[in-house]
Amino acid sequence: MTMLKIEGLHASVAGNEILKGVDLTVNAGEIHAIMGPNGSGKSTLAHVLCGRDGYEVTQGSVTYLDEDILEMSPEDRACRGIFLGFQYPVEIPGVSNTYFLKAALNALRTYRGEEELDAVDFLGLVKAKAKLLQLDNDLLSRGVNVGFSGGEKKRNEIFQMAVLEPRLAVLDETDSGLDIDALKVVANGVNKLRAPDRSTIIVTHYQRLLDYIVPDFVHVLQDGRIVKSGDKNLAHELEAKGYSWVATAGNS
Amino acid sequence: MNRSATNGSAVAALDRFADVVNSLGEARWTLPAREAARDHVMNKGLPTPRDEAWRFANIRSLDPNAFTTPTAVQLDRGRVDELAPRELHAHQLVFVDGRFQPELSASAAVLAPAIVGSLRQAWQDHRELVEPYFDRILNYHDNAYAALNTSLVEDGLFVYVPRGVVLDRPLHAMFIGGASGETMSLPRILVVMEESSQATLLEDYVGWGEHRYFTNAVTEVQLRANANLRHVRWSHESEGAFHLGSLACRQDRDSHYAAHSFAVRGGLTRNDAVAELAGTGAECQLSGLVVAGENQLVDNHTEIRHLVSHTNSQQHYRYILDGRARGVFAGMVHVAPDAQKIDAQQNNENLLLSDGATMNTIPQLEIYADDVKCSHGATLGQLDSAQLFYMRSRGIDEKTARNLLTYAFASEIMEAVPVLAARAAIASMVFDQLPLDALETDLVREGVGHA
Repeated sequence: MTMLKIEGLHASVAGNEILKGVDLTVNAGEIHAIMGPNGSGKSTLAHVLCGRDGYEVTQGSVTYLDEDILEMSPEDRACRGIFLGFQYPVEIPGVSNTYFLKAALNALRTYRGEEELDAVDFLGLVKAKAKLLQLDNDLLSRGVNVGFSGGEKKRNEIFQMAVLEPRLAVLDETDSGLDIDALKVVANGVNKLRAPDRSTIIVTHYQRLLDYIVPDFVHVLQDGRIVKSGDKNLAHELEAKGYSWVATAGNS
Repeated sequence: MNRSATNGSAVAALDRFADVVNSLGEARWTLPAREAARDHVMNKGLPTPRDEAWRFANIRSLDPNAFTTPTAVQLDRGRVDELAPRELHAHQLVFVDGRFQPELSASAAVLAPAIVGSLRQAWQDHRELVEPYFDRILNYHDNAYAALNTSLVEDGLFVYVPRGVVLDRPLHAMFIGGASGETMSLPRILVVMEESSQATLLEDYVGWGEHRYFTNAVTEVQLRANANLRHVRWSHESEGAFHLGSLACRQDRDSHYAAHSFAVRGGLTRNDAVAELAGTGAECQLSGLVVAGENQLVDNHTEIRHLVSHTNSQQHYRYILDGRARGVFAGMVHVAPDAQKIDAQQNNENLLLSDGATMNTIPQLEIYADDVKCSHGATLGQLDSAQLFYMRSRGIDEKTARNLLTYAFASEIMEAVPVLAARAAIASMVFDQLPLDALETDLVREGVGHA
């Protein structure tokens, strides 16, 4: 089953074309890694998939579970099962992590025609998932990401993903800046969610994460296009030879 | 064109001066203070927009001569109780148009040795406790409305907490306005806290009907050494009502004063707060939340006077303005010559929800010492687009996300309110005032910050 199909996608930010014809097909159950140098358009692709304002799609199409999603609001995409793990998670003082997550989960459940979870069931779910991500219970009652360390913020992203159980997760540099222990925790969280009916796109700058989350496909994004695709071995090759090697080698 | 009261002779309310004086009885010793205040009003006139301190308050719409003197009315106890916050478990004191209502209030006997009750009674029975403070703390030089209160005030609240006494239950002073028509009421509060005493005062202004009345209140607070007062003040006046509140607090060494003010309803609201830190180790925290929409105007003027070394102050005011509302914050921090080792912070953050809303913020520092830490900051803006996208990317619809962020902005100020039931009552008033219809009702019960 095709989860996501991106065809000839062009997108601009403030009049500058960043994506210049991206093609990518992600089937259910697959993990795809998108690698590339800084400024190649990795984060833009992640944001376009999730519908952030300010990213203008000028050409091409994005189909998710046979639906064109480009005209959908971010919340509609989220309700259909798309999740974005942020490179820079936002702090929201005054809204507790728990309240935020409950509002989000119940929005998704309402969309799917399910009953909202009551406080007891919700708390049970949250505690189990927090344990998986080794998140301190104190952090749950604090404002969203307020006073969290960099590593805690990233773990909180994966924690939210674990609670919301998306069909398609797009993780935007979730590994950047993590120490090896935090990286293992994050990878474990992603691996736990691996299932035949779910897919993950991991946007990353570093090959290291892929030692812990083994991707089915690795793509190199450069200057707004996918210039090379391969299996997990491509990541090792990139690590050894650098991105400039791809440019000279071409898409063979 | 309406005649506006730009000079004293035009202040019709002063016509009552002789009647008020004649009714003083044993409280006649207050006469010199009243005469001086009357003369001040006559000479200076009431403020107009030409006065710097009243520049942004659209005082033109307030014609003091449009209001009559309140007449005594009997209010239904059940309805009065309904106006009070649920499960407050406080000592209730009810005032109708400024007059103390013993039959609607709890008996003060249980609070002995503290004295809590009618100011009129205290003028007569406790002159030795009242005279050193009444009209001695608040300076009405730039505020002729406060002088008008002093000259004509007939009753109010007197709180005296003796040395070392701790009042466990909060005092809830409920000032009901507009009970007898379009009147001007003159609530007056005097709080005297002796050394190492402690109390919590909830000052609650609420409208009875939908009259366009005028509340002109004055609060004076004296904190002796090491005394601690937590003071929550909220105004939930009727639509179109005028509310002027003038507060002055004088603090001796090591005393602690925390005042949280909430303006959530009313036509024109103007609050002046002055804290004088007169003893080392004294600390003062002022915070405030304004929620205004339509054509409301809310103006907060604060002034913190650091008179001696080692005194601290924090101010944190937030405004949420919608419709064509207008907000004013003018905050002055004054550090006297050679008052060293001062830590003074001032913050004013404002959220504008509509194009028609206006905010004027005027932070001012006057520092005459060199070893001090003073900061002030003001921000003005709309909801944060990154926060909005973050919430929406999790499935929360845009409207709910906006509401949550708006409420969260308000809730940080409300979290400082020390009495939970009062916090819940204020939260519910704020909730009613914000355009939050898409929000779940458990938001208020649980608080966004405490799910």
